[in-house]
Amino acid sequence: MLPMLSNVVRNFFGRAVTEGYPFQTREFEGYRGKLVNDIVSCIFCGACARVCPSRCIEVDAKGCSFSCDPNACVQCGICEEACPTGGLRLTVGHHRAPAYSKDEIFQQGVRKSKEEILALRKRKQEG
Amino acid sequence: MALTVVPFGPQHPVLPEPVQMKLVVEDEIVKEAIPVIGYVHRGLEAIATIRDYTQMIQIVERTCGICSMIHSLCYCQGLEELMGLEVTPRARYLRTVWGELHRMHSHLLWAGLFADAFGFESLFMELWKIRERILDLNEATTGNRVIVSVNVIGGVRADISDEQRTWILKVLNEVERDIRRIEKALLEDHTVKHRTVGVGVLTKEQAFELGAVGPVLRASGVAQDMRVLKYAAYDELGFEPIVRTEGDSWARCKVRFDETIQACGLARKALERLPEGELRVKASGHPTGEILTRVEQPRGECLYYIKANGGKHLSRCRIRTPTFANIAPLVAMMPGSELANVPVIIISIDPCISCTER
Amino acid sequence: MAQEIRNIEIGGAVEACRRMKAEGWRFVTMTATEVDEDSLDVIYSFDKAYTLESFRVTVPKGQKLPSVSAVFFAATFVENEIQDQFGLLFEGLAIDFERRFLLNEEVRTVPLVNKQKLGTKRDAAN
Repeated sequence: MLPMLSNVVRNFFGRAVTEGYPFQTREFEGYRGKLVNDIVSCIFCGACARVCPSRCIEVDAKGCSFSCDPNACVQCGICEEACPTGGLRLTVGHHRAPAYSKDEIFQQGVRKSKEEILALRKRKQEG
Repeated sequence: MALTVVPFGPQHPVLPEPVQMKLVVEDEIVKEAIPVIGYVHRGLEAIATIRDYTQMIQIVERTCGICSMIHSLCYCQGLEELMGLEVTPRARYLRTVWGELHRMHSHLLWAGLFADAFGFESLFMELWKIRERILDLNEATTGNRVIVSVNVIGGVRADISDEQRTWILKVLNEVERDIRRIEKALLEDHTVKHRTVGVGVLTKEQAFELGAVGPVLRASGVAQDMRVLKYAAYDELGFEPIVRTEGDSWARCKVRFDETIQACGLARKALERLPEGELRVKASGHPTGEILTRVEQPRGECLYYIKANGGKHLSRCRIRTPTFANIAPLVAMMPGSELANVPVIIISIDPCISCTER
Repeated sequence: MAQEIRNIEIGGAVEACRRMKAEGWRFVTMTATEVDEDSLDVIYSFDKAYTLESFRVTVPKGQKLPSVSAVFFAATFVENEIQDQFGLLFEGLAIDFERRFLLNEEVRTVPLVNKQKLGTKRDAAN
């Protein structure tokens, strides 16, 4: 009884350990948030669709479109590592709040020329 | 007296996961228990035939939410051996650090549920409050609280910087101090002892013969812990299994608390000796052959059988989880106990039913 | 730990288990895997002082195997799981769930043999 009682007294005079979410949020660097694709720099290579473990990404190379089912995404980050241009990212400052509806992300892009593709790939390699 | 069959579960306030025990009872004493499982069967071993072996890492991690990093560690270890890859020292030490953090948070979770099983709810909240600090460590270093997803074939894909290392050592000291303080509230309490000492006794011969693993085996006097097999960085850290001889629920609880303190010490040692170097080696080619590999999860010994034939998909990936091995000792512990002690006995083996059924 | 797995004929499994038990080995698990269209492999694994030893039995599909649950009670649950996943039936099980240990009543197929069609609607569209 006594160890628990001293614990209760310590808690009573200590500060709160909970945070007032959603008014107070706390982000760690490297936190894996929502999946976001920069369609301007996407070259539609399909590497992200090939490595995704839950198969939530579909890339149409001919039609130049990128679509993703955000409810199937498990935010593992493997696609971010596989992306050659660095345009696919799991956002950091965006806490994964519960979704209100089941929707799909669909983005239509523009076909890139060979030089543009090379420049985008190089940009990621240089950091 | 006529025998009654009381179905315990699958939905019960005390159980974290659905399992049904059909208890054959005579006047409040349990005569026999028959387990019925299958409520959360997801068919993960069947998925191994339709996903690549690299995509399987994420799937294997989700076999169990609590020991997820150790599942993927075993899987990656097996594949690395089949492909002939040598993991760098820094990756091995980092895997040990995260593995021990997982062991601590798993045991604290279990201790909270154990306290809740006989109504000690405030202690349940207190233990989970300590556990939150370890989940913060996970989130800061890997990006996610529970399913950290940090193993890849050939190493790890997240790193611990030097400032993070100093911070983690400070947090580990505080966590160890808090656990030592709160341990007395659970294990020395008169009512807790009344409900756990002598309840669910498993003798040494029974435990060995029925194939018990983990703290259930070690609390009955058999000193077996798969970390002695020297995988990851355990050979360089020095390690001895923790054993008790009573074989009842109190002994299992004490073994887990002692293991948590030991895990704190192991994580601290691994962080202090963290070597410099690369995080991963490049894997080329596809695996061929078959292998049986074992690790020590918080609940016991976990065995993976992987068979590959040189293609992108594995032929067979079999997971033998520790709770699956502990069902037979559980069935043997029940006869002779009172009906009110059944929740305590079931929780004392640390049942992770999603591991059992995959 | 890649080990040598020695082969044993079908009738010898129960006797080998009895011998392992007498020598003080702990029963670890049984693993079933499909070898080709007509046969399955069942690998019995045992542990003593951190050494893992296994032996393998090759069974043609459709044949029943004698159960080792009289020697090791822990084998009951593993054999029930193999019954569910591979359709390989065992004779003399201590508790027989009759292929309903893990699977539901509505399931009529056998999950892990003969390249059963698996996958989600999305996979079917790809």
